Amino acid sequence: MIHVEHLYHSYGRNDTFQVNDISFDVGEGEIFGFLGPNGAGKSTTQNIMIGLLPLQRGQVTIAGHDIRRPGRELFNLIGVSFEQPNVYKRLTGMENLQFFRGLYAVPTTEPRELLARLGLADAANKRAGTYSKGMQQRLVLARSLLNKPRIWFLDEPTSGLDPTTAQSIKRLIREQQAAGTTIFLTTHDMHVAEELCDRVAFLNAGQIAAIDTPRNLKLRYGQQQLKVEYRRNGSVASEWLSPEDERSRRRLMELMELGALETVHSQEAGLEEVFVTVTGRGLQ
Amino acid sequence: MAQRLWISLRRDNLINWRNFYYAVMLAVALIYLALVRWVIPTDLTVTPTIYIVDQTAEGRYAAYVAEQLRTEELVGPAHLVGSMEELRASLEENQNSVGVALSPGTPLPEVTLFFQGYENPQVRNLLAVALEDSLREAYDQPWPVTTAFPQQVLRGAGHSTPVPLNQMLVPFLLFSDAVLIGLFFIAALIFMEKDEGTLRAYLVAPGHIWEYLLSKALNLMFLAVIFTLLFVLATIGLGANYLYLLLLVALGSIFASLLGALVAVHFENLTQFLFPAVFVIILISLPAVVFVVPGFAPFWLRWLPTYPLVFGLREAIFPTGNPQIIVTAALTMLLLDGALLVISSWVFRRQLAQA
Repeated sequence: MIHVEHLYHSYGRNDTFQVNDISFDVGEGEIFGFLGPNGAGKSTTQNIMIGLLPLQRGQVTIAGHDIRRPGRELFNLIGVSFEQPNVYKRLTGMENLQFFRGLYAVPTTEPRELLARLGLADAANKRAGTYSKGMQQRLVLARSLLNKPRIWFLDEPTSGLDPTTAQSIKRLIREQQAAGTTIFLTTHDMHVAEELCDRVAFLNAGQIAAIDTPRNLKLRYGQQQLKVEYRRNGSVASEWLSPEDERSRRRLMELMELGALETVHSQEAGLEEVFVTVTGRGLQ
Repeated sequence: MAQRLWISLRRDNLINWRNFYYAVMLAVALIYLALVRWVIPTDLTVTPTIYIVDQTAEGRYAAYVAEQLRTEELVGPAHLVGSMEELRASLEENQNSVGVALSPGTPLPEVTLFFQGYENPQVRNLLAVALEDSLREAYDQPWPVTTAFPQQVLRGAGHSTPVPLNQMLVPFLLFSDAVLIGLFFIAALIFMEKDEGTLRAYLVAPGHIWEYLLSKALNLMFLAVIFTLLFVLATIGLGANYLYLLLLVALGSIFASLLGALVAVHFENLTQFLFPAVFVIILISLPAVVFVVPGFAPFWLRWLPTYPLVFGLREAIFPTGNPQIIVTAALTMLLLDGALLVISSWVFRRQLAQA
């Protein structure tokens, strides 16, 4: 559904590339996470994919449409939810959606239905300028779903939302996937990515450092650890042990032979830890 | 396409209303109306230098004619010149001047007033009528005065009512406000949308940039037309040719709005935009100086795109039976509007892609 091949982008006239030879494919109905810290090139790549930045070098096709010549057909089948709550503040929530709805030449969803789904039904006729940031963010999400997009670009969809609303947005994303929508999710929130994405790409300094399913990445790069609890002098003590480390393995055997072992819990590495291992840097 | 343009028009109209653009235009119209009706005097005094050549055998009328003109306080200093060639040379040298040629006639000499060619008809007629009346009273018989440009006799004088100064300023005020205000208003709208980020949202929807720009220009045109109707009806009455006037205001307003968009897209905010915008406003307003300084007409002024519009507006408000002035202005503006729409859409897309 999305094909990106040897993509480069430079903001200056020198040879410094903010996006440096990126290639990946996203299949139909897949949730693909694009992860990386600020300045890694996530937004640049996404902006090229949605036609906001010109394609300088490489190839990008979205549902078979070459992004070099993005026709109106392409914009009829994608939905874009920006991180910035970019709504017409002088228009009401309903007016915002009605305006954008009128731009599409494909079947659309009733704005009232979307506002209700995003918890904005009561604020439908209030000016968007009076909305809280979270409400504006939900209005942006609603707008991006107006044209029932086949490909949905999401930029930090849960950023700034309270946990309950964030959960509701995650449910919405899964519903859209179940309906066959391909989702390109840009974020630096590893928990969101881990929870939602079928595959993720780690982006660092304009290049893809790793690309795979979260599980495979954790298996490949994450270190599994064991938390053991045992009796010592009448009280309970605990230790972290790595099954890949010889000394840890010996210690585990020793505790078992002593009969002091009470509990053993395995602890998987998180995506954030994997990211640090792969790229050598944090996500913030 | 038509549907997208229509919903864009509705959106921009709502935003303009909520941005108080209608209220601002109404307030400005009322202020201008008050200025024209109660503040600016109705009397006009022009004091160009006068050059007189007396070609009669007697050669004694020049001083008398100069005195009559001076009595009417319509001209400044008078200079006698020896020949028509000298008169033409003097007129060319001093653009704020009027020539008088006295040639043999029966029983009295014939008087021809020579103008620069850029004075408005009201000024020409006022001077001719005043001189003719003055000479008729003094000699108790008709002494016809003809007006002309150095190269060409245009038409006889004496059958046109001079226009009061306050009404003469109506085309100037109309040009400077109804037409040019679009340049600032569209910039304010664009910067507001840049700030809100809604322009980015529009760019990833199936709308065209030209629809986006045209929608804003048409909305501001609508404001300009309402302003024109209110202001001109209240100051001039029904004497103006409203069909031509509204056509020119509409085309002129679209021109100014698209020009404003073309300039605004190169800047980040309204503050950065203001200085270059004022420069552009001054440049395209220069032709309007002829409304207050009739002799101001350097050659390069004719190359400014608003030059025909300025004269077209005056002709529409004070019709003198020269519709070709309006046709020329309308066609020029139509051509410029089309070209600006194409250019500004292209530049807009290019600039935003680099942002």
